[in-house]
Amino acid sequence: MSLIVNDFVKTFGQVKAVNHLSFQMDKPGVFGLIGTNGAGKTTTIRMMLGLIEADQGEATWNGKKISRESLRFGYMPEERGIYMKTKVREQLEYFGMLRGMKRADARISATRWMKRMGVLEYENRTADKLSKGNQQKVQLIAAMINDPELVILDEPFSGLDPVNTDVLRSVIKEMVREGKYVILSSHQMSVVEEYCENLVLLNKGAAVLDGSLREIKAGYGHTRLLISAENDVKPYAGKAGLVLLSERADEMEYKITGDEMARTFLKSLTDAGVFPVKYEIREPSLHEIFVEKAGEAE
Amino acid sequence: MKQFLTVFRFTFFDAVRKKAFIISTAILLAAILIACMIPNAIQWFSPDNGGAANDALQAGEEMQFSGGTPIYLMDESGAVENAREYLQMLGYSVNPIGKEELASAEDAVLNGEADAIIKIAASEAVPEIEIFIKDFMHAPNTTAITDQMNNAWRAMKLTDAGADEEILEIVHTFLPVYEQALGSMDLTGYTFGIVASMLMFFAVYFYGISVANSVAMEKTSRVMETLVVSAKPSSILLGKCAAMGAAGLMQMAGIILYGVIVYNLLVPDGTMIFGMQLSFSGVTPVNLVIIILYFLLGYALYALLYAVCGATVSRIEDISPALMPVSVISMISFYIGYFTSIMGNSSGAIEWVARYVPFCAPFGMPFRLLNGSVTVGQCTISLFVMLIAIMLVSGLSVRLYKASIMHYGNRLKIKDLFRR
Repeated sequence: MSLIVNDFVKTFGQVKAVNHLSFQMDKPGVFGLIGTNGAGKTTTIRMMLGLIEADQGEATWNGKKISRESLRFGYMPEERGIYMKTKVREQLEYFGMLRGMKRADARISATRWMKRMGVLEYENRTADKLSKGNQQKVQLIAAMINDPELVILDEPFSGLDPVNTDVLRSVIKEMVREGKYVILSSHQMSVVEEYCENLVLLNKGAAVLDGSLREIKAGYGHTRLLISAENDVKPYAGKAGLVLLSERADEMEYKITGDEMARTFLKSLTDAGVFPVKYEIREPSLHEIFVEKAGEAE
Repeated sequence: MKQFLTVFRFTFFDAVRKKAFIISTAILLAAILIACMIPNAIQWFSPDNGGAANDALQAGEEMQFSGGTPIYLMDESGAVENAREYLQMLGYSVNPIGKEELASAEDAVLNGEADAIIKIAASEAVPEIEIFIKDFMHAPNTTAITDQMNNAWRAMKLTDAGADEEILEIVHTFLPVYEQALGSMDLTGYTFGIVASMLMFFAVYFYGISVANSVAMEKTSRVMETLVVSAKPSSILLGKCAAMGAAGLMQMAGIILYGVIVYNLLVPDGTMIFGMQLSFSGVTPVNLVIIILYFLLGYALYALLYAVCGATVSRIEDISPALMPVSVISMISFYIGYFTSIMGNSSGAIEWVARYVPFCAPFGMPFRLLNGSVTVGQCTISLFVMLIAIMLVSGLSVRLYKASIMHYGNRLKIKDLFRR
């Protein structure tokens, strides 16, 4: 099974919301659709699901254009929306039946998911009586009720408290274990970094980076050095050509060109009798890559 | 079809459980109950039926009658000598005044203490009469006063000419005139026709607006995005319209049925309403089926348009201006359909429009049918035209609905809708 988005273009007036965007997902897992607010993530998702028409390009699932008929998908939109004056169970069963489930199946699935998400006790309450976090859980259940093959979550963590964030984390991991295809749209890079094997990074509607997260990071090599020492290391760092990125009370972060620079710098420190208690060489974070790529695109 | 039925079921139960639906039904049922109790209440207080008023009379209390409505008469020249007597025959309490009292008499009329001032001025040929009244809303029967003044003047002149009482009686005798209708004069059809037209308009207007509000609520609360990935927009739109219509029809049918039962149980036999007795004989089963069809099709036509209006807004407070175009169409159509039917005798293009233009037909055709001014065949043609129009409008509505439900931001204008 594979999901292919091929050459999506969408223009609103003078604004090009999505500009020749292509990506593909060949195996189950989590695919990250990342970018700043207004980068074109939601527009891309809406075009994929046929909610709005693309000016150009198409999204296919196993070679067929994505539609309600060709694919069982679940979608949790960024703008949360459930029936506020309707009981939780009633609307979950309604959404299940709209997606072709029998009433009995929808009931069983709703019960299972409400139990899993810890909202079963609210099944007979109207949604407006629930907290924001619980409303969001109900929204997620509405997306998952028909056991979809492809799950699209648009900014799923926004507005969740740490406890509910953990619940959602475990649900996403469970989906991956069950072999589902999950597309996760977010502007929080740390979230994507935690789950996504592959990603596309959007800036002003265009892909500035795409591929495997591991490969992308490996491609950058070791470009960051975290150091913590009792003595002042700044003079040695300056002499070795390191660029200071950030400074905290107990550690400093430097930009390096690679492992060789780090090795030379460490030698200069030990030669001078400076003993670092922490000396960590690492790849750039997704956030750093994004900032750099977005800057290049500007 | 399964999605349509799912949307229908959900929307229907959602609509009938709403407080607005329950409260409006309860108010209408209470109003019907009270209306049907009025004739009994009137009978109870009637002196003929041994009610409280009768008891009071038996206790020796007398009803106070005024000595006639006050009116001023100014005839200084005595041009119509017997004017006072003739005006008194109309039940007026006539107060003769002179020129110097005219101003205070005018004040009395303006203050509502008297109905009018009759001013007679002598002239060479015949006396001239002016009637001063307060305003349009407080005018006495000037036609009767005029006739009576003519009688008084003729009587005076004939008496002067030597005519005796017999001749005067002949002059004052009116010939009995009877109006005979060759057609039906049963006003039940007229009454039911007006009620049917009114109900049709209120149903179309209020249930249509309910559809628009429901769609707008789904859009503004962002449920729409979850909804449209779950079901086809056409199923959502048509299912919703059908469900709201069914809820409305059920409410209306229930109220009418309740009204008939309460009427039969509470209203005494022979009770007249506006001088006529209501009978349901004019409402044949065929007529009833046709009227229900007009309700269903008329509602469907407008509900589809209202639903599109609801889908164009992003904020619920924008709903009123969004509904304006369809509301204006429904108002104009109602006036055309309704007034051409109750006024009768209309012909030509306007009559044709009222009968066969789908927006107007539901408001006028039930009245025409109940009063026999259209045939069942003409109704069938009109209903068929409506059906075709609904098919076209539903196709267009689904397209416009689909184009507008995912639009957020400024309210979509009509030209934007079609461009999309």
